[in-house]
Amino acid sequence: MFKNYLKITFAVLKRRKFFTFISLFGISFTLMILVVLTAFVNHLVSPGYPETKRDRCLYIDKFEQIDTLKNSRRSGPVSFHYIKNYVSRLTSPERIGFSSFTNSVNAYVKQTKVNLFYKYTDANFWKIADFEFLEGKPFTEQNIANNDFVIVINDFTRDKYFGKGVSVVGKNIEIDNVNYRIVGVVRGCPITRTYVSSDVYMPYNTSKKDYMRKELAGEYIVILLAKDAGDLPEIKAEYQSLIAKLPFRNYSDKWFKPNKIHSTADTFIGSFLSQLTHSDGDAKKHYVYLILIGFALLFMSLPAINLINVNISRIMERASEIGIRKAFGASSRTLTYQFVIENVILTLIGGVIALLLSFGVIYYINNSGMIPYADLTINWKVFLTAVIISLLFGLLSGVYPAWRMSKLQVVQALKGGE
Amino acid sequence: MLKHLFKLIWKKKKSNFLMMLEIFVSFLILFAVWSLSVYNYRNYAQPSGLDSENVWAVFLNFNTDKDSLKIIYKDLVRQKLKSHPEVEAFSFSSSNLPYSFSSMNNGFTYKKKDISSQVMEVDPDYTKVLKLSLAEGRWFTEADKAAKIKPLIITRHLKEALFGNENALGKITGEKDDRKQVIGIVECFKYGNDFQKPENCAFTPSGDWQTDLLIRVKPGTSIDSEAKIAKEISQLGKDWSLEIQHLDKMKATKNRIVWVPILILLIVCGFLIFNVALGLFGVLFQTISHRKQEIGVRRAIGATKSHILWQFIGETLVIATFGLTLGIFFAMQFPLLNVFDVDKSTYLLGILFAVITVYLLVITCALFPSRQASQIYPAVALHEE
Repeated sequence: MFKNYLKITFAVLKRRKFFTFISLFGISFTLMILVVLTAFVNHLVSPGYPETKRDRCLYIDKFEQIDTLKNSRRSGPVSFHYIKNYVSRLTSPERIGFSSFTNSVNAYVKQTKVNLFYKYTDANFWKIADFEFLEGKPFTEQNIANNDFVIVINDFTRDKYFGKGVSVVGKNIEIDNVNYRIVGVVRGCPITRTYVSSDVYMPYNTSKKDYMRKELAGEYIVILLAKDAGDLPEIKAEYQSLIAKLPFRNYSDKWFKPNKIHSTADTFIGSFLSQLTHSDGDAKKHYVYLILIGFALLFMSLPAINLINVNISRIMERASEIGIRKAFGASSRTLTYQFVIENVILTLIGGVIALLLSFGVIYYINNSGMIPYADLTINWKVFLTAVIISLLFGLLSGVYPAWRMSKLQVVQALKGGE
Repeated sequence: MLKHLFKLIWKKKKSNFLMMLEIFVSFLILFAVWSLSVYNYRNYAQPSGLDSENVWAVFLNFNTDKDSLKIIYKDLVRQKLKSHPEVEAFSFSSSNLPYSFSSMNNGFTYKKKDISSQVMEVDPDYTKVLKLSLAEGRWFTEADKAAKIKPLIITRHLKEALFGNENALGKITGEKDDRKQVIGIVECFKYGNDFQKPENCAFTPSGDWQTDLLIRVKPGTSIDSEAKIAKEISQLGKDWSLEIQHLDKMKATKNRIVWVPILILLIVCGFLIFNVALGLFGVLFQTISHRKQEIGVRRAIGATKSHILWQFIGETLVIATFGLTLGIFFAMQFPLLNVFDVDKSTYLLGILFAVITVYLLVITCALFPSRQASQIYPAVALHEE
């Protein structure tokens, strides 16, 4: 039976090439856009090189001090003083590392200007982020204790500064008029992974700023690594109890007397959303997912209506065929079933074309240099979403016309339509 | 004739429903796209009010918290810059340089009105660096900095918000220690990007703690001299860090943030509409070829070719009109409710352009099938029956 349907489907598709083209174009184009967009979102939120442990990480990147009397607030990243004296007391995380917000600096090499991003980090940072070292190794606690001016650079910096592929460990590089000795070269990562992405990495104690300053606000983002993703709520709770016990002390400004402190350790998506919505991101996660799904459905509605419209025309054309089948005793259900199967097959073909197109587009994006080090991929998650969406499409655009047609009176159908 | 067409479509509203729905959704998408385009184009067409060519933004950090040191350091930098022949003019500024990512807002009060505005704290030479032109009044000078009531230069937009139709020159805003006197007005100052709508912005003399710089250099200044200047400045102090960016590149970056999403949206919507057009074409082709007998009869009793052609185009236009009427009803809510605080005429133009686009689209799709219908010979059509 199924084989029969398949044969009929292909015969019909071949007979009306223009309609087949319209349907396939609509399906494959819409799916391609959805697949590429999901690949983007996936790239932004899922763990990827070098943040492979992102599922087990919490980030402290916003620390807000509020003066409720004057109604003024200050927020920003945290200081070394705060990390050393308070955050490091947390017992539930497996590791605690930190890095500064990414800044940029010019380097002038051979009549060209290279703009380099730089970060100051601690030694634990290298144990939390899984960088691939092309050469050398990260700096260690020992380097920091010795006050060594050492640096880890990425392959982009090496290629720009020294030439493609040369060995540079042990050589010196000048960043912002300070000489550093290179200890390692890492493979670069896309700038979209903001917590770890940079061109050069230096130990926090080599910063020109006075990093020992006794203030809570500063320039560092803390990454807390849990042993297991299940421990995250416990760490969040422990951090909250630490915040609750924090003394209100202001060290420098006599005008600003904070009496309330707000800071949370968020998952990656949570902190990403906190920045967008200016509130606790982890709590808002579900709303954002709903909005995204709603947007995708809205986007699909027009091609879906179009498909239904085209399908009605296609099926209407076959009114006499339906009439004959009805006259020979085919039930409405069998007919609906047949048309739905035909549509699902058509959609699946469209889905395959869409996947091929998406591969092309993603390959182009990865290689065009729009986002350096972009590693967008169609992984199984995205693939599965696409298949489910395409089936949904097939059902959505097949059921209604099939139902309408199968309701047709035999006599009318034989005469050729409504 | 028109009434007849409406009647025809209304009778078949059930089978035409999907087409109307499709046109309705397409119209809404086109309305959004056109409104967005009109809005951005109108803002883009306004002059930016500043010249970013050959201007460097220098992010200088002395890495010290002491204001007294900063004053000394700033003087050192000034002397150094004056000794370079490539430097035409320079000005210290608060960190909210044009096209930068930081902003600094402050409230201005006048007759119980409190208006928030971007405030740039700058040196007198700022106007030379960015080649600002004043619509009214004058820019402040070194002498004004000492005055007890600080001078203030505002954009036209802030003037309208704060003073309305009154003459703003000489007016004083703020109270007690924070009084400022308006001495000049600039027509516009698009400090964010080229697509920025007219915004509130005010300039006032800088204090001693602003350490970012704008420098206008001679055209054709090479990377080598840039490296030399950067090196010489950062070597003046021990722990200074310094970064030079070119203002026109910063502008390009900020512009890209605006136009890249719009471009992606336009491409996606373009494909959606193309998709719809193909679909419409197919459906129209199908329905018209189904009505051969009707056409045969009409031709036999004397309808000309152009009658048939116009009947089918007319029918399609009527279907489109039904979809559009519903669409315009929803779209009109935007100017009526003043959504997003956008100028009403932008929405109206958006509606107008969307309506024109939909009609053009529908006529293009209907033309070929209708032409084919009009070519039918009555004898052939009736014979088939």
